[in-house]
Amino acid sequence: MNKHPHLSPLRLHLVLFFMGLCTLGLVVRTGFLQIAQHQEFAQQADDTHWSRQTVPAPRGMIKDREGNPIAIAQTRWEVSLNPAQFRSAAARERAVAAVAAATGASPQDIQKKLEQARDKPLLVTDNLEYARGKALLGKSLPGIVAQERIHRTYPEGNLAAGLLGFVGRDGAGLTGVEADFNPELAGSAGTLVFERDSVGNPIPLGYRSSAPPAPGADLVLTIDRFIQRVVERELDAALKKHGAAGGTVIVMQPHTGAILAMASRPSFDLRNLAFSDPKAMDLVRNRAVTDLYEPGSTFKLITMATAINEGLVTPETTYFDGGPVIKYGRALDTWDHKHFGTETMTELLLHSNNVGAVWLSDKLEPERFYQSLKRFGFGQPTQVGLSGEAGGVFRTPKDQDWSPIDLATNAFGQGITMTPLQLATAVSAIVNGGTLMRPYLVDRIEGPEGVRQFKPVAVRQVISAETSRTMRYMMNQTVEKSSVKTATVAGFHVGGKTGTATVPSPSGGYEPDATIASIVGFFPYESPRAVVLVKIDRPKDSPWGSQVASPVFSTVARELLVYWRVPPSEGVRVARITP
Amino acid sequence: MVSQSRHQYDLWILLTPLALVLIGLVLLYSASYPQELGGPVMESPPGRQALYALVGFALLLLVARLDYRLLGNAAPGLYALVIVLLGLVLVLGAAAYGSRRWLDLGLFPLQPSELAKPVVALALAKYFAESKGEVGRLRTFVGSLAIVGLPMSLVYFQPDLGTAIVFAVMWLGIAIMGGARLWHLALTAGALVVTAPPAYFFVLKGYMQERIHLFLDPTGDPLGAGYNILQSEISVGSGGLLGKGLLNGTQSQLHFLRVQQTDFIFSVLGEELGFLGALLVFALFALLLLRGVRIATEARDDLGRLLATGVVIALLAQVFINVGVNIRLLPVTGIPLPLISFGGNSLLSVLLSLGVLQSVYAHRQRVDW
Repeated sequence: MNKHPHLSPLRLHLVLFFMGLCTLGLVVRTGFLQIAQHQEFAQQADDTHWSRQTVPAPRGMIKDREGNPIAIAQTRWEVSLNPAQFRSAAARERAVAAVAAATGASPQDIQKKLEQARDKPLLVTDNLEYARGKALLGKSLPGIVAQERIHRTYPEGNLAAGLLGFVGRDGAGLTGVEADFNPELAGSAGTLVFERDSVGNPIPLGYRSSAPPAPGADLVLTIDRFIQRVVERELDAALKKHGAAGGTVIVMQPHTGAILAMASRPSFDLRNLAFSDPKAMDLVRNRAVTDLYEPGSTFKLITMATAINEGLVTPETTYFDGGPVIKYGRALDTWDHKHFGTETMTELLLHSNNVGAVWLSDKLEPERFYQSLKRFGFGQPTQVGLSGEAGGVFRTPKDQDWSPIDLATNAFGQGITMTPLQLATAVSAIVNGGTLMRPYLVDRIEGPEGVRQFKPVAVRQVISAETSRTMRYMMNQTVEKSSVKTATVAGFHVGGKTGTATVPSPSGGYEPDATIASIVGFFPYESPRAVVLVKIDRPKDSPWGSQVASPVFSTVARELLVYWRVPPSEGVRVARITP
Repeated sequence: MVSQSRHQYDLWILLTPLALVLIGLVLLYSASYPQELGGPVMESPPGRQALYALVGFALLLLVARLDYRLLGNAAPGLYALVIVLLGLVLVLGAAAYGSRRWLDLGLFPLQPSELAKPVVALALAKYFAESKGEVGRLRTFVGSLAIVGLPMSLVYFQPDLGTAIVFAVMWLGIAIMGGARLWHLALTAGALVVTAPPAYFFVLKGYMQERIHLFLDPTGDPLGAGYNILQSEISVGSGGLLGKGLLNGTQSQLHFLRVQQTDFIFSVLGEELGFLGALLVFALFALLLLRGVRIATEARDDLGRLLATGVVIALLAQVFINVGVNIRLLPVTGIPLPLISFGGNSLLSVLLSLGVLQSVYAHRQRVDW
């Protein structure tokens, strides 16, 4: 003890105690992690090194009624470079060169972008052709990350863009038929589960399991690509000719409600989507079903059909048009301020006489008139199966703000709104024997498990077959006795009614110069195969339906009659071509 | 009866480090598998480490034959050399991971802070042993603080907080065993507690503060600075009782765990060999340390006793800090796990220290009949 005056057992024990404490701390903490919390950390370790990748399902095709593809799905590659996976500068160069060669970009460009991305993964392309991508992957260079992606392509170009709608980057339909039938078209994605390392590379020979994707079903539309193309061509030509802001054309099979063509302008380009600005998004809606308008004189068909069906008038019934009528403090006049004295119901339609329509509404009275409007399907969506469909509005005596003048103006298509599709559907009922058909766009869905065929759905009988026959006759007379005869088709009998509607102003009243020129008609007269509605918004050179819309109707009708090989009507003289 | 001619080695201080080094080589093999094992064996991490170990054990046996009292005489010179080297590192050192710790000597890179550990222990032991009669005086106490303070601050500015802490703990152990008055120590501890909060803001560097934050909440930056804290915890925790088996640790083999050959090799151990493997390593270290304490108590003089204490305490501090970081008991500070982590300087430094321990053992108290 003399030798070590300061070495007391206390000090030694202090050091030993300290050592013991440290050791105990390590053992307890390690035990806590490895025994008590083992499950939790084992789970976390699993989670970090398992990776899950979705394998997109091939999206179904969209085809026209003849089976011609309008939208098809192609598998493309989305290729990125992940600098974290480059093991050396040489490997980086090889990867960049390979990607550049496959995508056609310059290696310098990619290199520059990689530097700008500061070694974060860089998306090089989202649309690399399948075979090229496969070849690129075959080189198995670390750092190149490729994922399959379903890319929509359109064999018919931009045909029926607004109707089809577009598909987002994730492959899901965002608007139009693509969105409304997305569940059927999309199928279900498969998954690929694999072990990965810390930079995300799959481990060679690591565990892999995959559930294959279930492909989506093909959608066969009621649309006919030929008719659609004719309609779009004629619509575009008319807009250009008349400097119009937009328009809609619908071709419907009156006895089934099948929509053969549906086009609206303005629209967008399916093949060049640029939706960064909200204005562009404004172009994607299907205006034929979403946009409401006041139809104007084409609506006199509904008023007339109702009155005839109620037995109040016949085509030969006469009334006296002695000038503007004063109704509840408002003067209602004819569109051209001409008055025809005594005229028949057929002449009423022929002259599109507002005074006559008011006379009819007086005879009908509110109850019968509005009841009939509901039965024709106005005021509620047609349930065509497209989202965003509008139902239109009209006031009835049950509404507080209804006044008797509404009945008078409604009778010639003012103060009541509807979609072009609603009017086309109602007129189809007028010409098809009186049955309101639910309009539809999808003929059948051809899935892996079989075909789902959609059948025409009759909603209700609106008018009698007799009234329908009478209406067809009157519509034929309206076209063929017209002074301008712009809607006629040489060699065939057709029927129709034009309209020139004023455009309600958001501030109340109507815009002074803007009109919507329209016609709704059918052909052939003897046995109607198509109802065609043409609506041209804000034509600049002429406001009239007969000048702006009727020629479009006439051209479309002529083309379709030829396309369908409908023989010319009896009693109509056809020029014979002699060799 | 001890024969002067036949040199005595303590077998425990030979076999225990050998076992730890072998475990280290196995873990290193696993941590390098397979990417770094492709080339010539002697260029792979385990090959190089084995070579260092051979040199290290030769050095151990050589130093064991030296009389530690001769080393004590050389203490001032060695201390001066180490201070110069530590100074040079700050000026000329090669940077790695944001700090300057290396001197490139051409033949091999020298890490002076590793060499400094046994040398500072020697200097402190010599200092306390020499000031026998005045050991309780404040002047002596302050002098010892100066001896450790100079290398400590040089290391701190590299920056290498972990090694600086190892110096501090080593000083504490030697001071306690050397006879410093306990109230001097208590006063120093009190001063530390008082100055800790301002020191946190003014002395600790930004990265050090960040590491303390991340220790408290690594999920604050799970993919950045907090990444390895979380990954090492997951590695150790997922190992469980028996571990996933060598080469089967998903965390280490798939490189979710970083710096796994050096500072985080304990996580590889925990993941692949489990709690039992960790306990084995703890037991070996405990054996080594207890044997060191025994040698200290049996030393023939103060110098030997304090030298052995310094070696033991420095070893304890390094093991505790390194493992503590791996199991998230302490904030991250990068120091190697003695005898196990990949790195020649650390391995040589520890084996050299153990050689000194052997020397103290060989020249222990003579039993006079």
